Amino acid sequence: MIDPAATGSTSIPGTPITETPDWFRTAVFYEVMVRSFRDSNGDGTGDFKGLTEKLDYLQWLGVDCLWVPPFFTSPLRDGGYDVADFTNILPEAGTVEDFHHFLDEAHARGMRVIIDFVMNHTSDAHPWFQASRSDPEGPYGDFYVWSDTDELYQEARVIFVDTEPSNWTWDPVRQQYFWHRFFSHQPDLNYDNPAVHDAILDAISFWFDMGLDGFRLDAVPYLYERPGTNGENLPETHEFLRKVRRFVDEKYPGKILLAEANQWPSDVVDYFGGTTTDAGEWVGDECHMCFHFPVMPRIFMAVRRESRFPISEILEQTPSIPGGSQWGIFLRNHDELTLEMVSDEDRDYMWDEYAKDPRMKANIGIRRRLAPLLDNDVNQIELFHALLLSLPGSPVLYYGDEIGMGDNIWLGDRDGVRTPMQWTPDRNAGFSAATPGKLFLPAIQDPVYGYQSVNVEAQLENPSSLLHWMRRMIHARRQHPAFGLGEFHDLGGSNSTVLSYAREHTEPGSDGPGDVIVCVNNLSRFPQPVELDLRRFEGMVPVEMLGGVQFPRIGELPYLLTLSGYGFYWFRLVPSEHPVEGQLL
Amino acid sequence: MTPPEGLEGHELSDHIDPQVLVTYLTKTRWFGGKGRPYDVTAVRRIATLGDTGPYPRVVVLLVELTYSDVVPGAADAVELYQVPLALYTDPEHRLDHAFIGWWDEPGLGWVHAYDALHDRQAMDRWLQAFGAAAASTPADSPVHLGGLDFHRLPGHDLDLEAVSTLFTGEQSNSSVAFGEEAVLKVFRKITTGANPDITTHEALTRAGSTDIAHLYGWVSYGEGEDTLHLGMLQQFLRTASDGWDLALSSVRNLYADAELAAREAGGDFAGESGRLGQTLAAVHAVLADGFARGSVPGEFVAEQMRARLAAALVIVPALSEHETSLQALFGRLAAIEKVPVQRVHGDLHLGQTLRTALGWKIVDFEGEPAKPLSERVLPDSPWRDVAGMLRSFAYAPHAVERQHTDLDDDGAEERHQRGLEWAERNQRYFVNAYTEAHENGGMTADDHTLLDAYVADKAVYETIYETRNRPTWVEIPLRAIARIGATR
Repeated sequence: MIDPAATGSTSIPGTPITETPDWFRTAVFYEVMVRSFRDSNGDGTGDFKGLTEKLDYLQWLGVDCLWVPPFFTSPLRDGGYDVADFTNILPEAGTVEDFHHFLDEAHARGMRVIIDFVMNHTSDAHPWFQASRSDPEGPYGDFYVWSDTDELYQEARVIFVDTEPSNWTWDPVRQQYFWHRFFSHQPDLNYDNPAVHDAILDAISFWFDMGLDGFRLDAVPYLYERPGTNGENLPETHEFLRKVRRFVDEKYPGKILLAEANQWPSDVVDYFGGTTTDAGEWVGDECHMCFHFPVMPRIFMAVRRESRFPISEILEQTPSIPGGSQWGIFLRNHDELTLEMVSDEDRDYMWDEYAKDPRMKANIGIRRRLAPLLDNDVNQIELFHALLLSLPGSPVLYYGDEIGMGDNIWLGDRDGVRTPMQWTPDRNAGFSAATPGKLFLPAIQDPVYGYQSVNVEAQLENPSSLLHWMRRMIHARRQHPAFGLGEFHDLGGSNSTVLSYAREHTEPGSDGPGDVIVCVNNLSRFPQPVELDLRRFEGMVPVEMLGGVQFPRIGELPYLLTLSGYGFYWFRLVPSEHPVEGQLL
Repeated sequence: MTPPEGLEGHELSDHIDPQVLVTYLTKTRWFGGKGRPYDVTAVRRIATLGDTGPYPRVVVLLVELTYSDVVPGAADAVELYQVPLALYTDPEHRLDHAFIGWWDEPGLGWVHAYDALHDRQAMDRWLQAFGAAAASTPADSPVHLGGLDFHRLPGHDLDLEAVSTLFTGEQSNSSVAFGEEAVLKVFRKITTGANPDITTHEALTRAGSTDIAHLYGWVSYGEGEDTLHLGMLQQFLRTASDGWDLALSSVRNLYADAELAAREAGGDFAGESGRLGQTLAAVHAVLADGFARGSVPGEFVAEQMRARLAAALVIVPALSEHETSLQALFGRLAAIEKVPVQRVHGDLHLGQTLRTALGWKIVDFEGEPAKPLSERVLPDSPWRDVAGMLRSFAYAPHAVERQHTDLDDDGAEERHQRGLEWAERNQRYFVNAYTEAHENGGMTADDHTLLDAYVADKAVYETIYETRNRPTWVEIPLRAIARIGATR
């Protein structure tokens, strides 16, 4: 295959890793499963040495930060979210030294790395739990939530109702019940014990000292339990997160915490915290980032309904966040919206529209990749990414979506979207040298999405491929801080099927017009006209960002644009008295 | 009709050549008397906004027209139009498109006159006057400026730096946006008395309704019964789209997939229709509290409907085959002892709804424009509004078919069926959500009769309109009327 780094002229060197504390607010994230990306030793499972081999590709693509889901030592009964050792890694993924090398190589290419960290619980195979159950009086005796009765905290709901009858499970060794919000093989840590705080902060330090750039914190709302409460979002939980944040700010400035709280934005926003500094600035004091879950299904619904309102509405309902914070948004990842989370009365839009529509309902909770969800329609795939890369928040791409990979629904729940990355049309998609039967998951082989037709090598050779388009978009985005830092301003417009917004950013202390981007998206399959009220930008000239073509100057009258089906524009606005280079007189 | 008493003896602007105004009126969108013979019988200057300081001088004229195609004294023999002017001593070329004429203005000399609504500097005088009204004490008392009264409602601070923009395309009034937060609707044809668009919006705004564009203030001239309402300042729903356009998008989406039923189509509108029903229920609830309520005998309502039917039968012969079932329906209506009435919208259809990023808003509470102001504010049955929406849903598929002349003839019949399905589905979601949200929920037998009767009455009116204007469309209301006969 072509080595993208060797092509030289097209490779933009990444920004050097510096102490820019706000880096995550303008970053493009890329979620990569280490076991699915590249197998360096031919054992059939991807590993950190393999991932390191592919860093040039990721640098060429233009991503700023890699997010690697769980790879800690684990019995793998819950996809690695059942951790048996917070400071060691799965043998098939490599060694801690391999990871350290990967981290250094990513940094050398200007990319950062964050990993998953499960705070709420451990695997029952974790030595802490084994010690706790066998020696109640020992140092780990109080590391978990033990009780003689299973009647405490009855107000806390059972999350995995299909498999778990209760949040309490009887332990025959210790002759007591232990508390677990998730599976019964995942006992909850006891955060009322200060020793647990220290142990967790020690584990965090282990990775940060190695150079890691941040953690995605899994299942944060459930750290504490209190009688008479549902055990979610308790003040004690926020107090602990503030403690972790102070620890990070003091010892590891520039490193981030990204919360996963699969809830409505108005509730999730609490996980940013918020305090007023001496200078009167409102800043976050818990997590730097939180995922914004409802944006994703709203994008799908807006395109299905050919109406901008599903997206406009959720953004209008999203509260503002404290300084130095950022949302994370995504089209696909393994944590998706379920209707259970939107049962409140004022959230009935989702119920109303999703539950009623058989096609959308079928997609809820089922893990599919983007391309099959969009019937492999490249116009829609491009429109979805144009939205992801321009709406407020830092976009998180999912590995393989940049080439339009498919899924294997026969592999079941999570594995269907974790098939090997498709590098070449050769054996095992260029993922591994193992015999195909040894692969941890089979590569996609169907006629439409199989690796013979969908792979990195073929798309690298074709300048009009989805991969090259993605790269151009990512690189266009990184030229403009407004995408990450700018205000979001819904422009409305005469046509309800066209979603238009301005992103505006002015550097503090500068008095220039700032960075102004106008994005116009046709959510309909049909060509559409739209008249935009751009009076506030009167006198400026829109320049289309991918081609550099100047559009007519903005005047007093509504600004008329026409868009092809699923078409979109990204414009930057420039003052007309400074004609862009190449303009005819 | 004679000019309102307050205008008698008011300064006549005889120096303006009537022909200049005739030429101007002919060019405007909002002049309703085009094609009729008339004379300009009086031009009165009722206000001057800012008669010192920098130009322009802004004056407000009331132009009285007398038509010669009706007998003198007939209801539509005399009309008054509001014409605000921006006067400059020298030509303002930026306003060439809004030039009206030039003349010797007493006290100013020769001036160039422009339609003030096109002029940002002139419109700023209105904005500043509303700003002054907010500062006036005691609260809620109007400010008297240059001959006009500017009223404000509490609860909103205007951006007094905002720049105005005239909306294009409006039919009967002229609207000017101030920045991105406020819009001033300048009434063109002026009649005596309180305008229901203002009084209804005022009540809804004071009650804190979130289902409308809030009223920020209004402009009036004169007092008491002779007061003239000249304009209203409202919240600008910047992100809004017209409900009718949204409905048409949904139908277009439906027609694009030949096989899908309305409930399976991606552009399904039923959720929006349901939310619209909830919005109307909330607005009706506030209006019921804010204005006089009462009841009228069913017989009284039925009698009006019968009279309209009798008139329609003369014009639309095809209606006669449905006369029996319509009379039976109106008979059931007449048997209702008490029909509850309250302030309603009066002219509700999808084009009077706006979808914003924060839900639906209902707009334009002017009532039925064909009626005199005094009749428009009479309490009426809320079912009239519901019926108006149901008829609007029925029309949407036809509007798409008519616009979309390239549709394949082969599928015409099937498409037609799917269009009917679309209309019925959205009507059902709308009515269900409306009734569930309203008072006790559900519909009584009387409610069904009332709704059917108002739908029938509206459809009867439509048959006249279509027969006169779009004869091929008369099938649309006739089908609705036929269904009434079939189901009861």
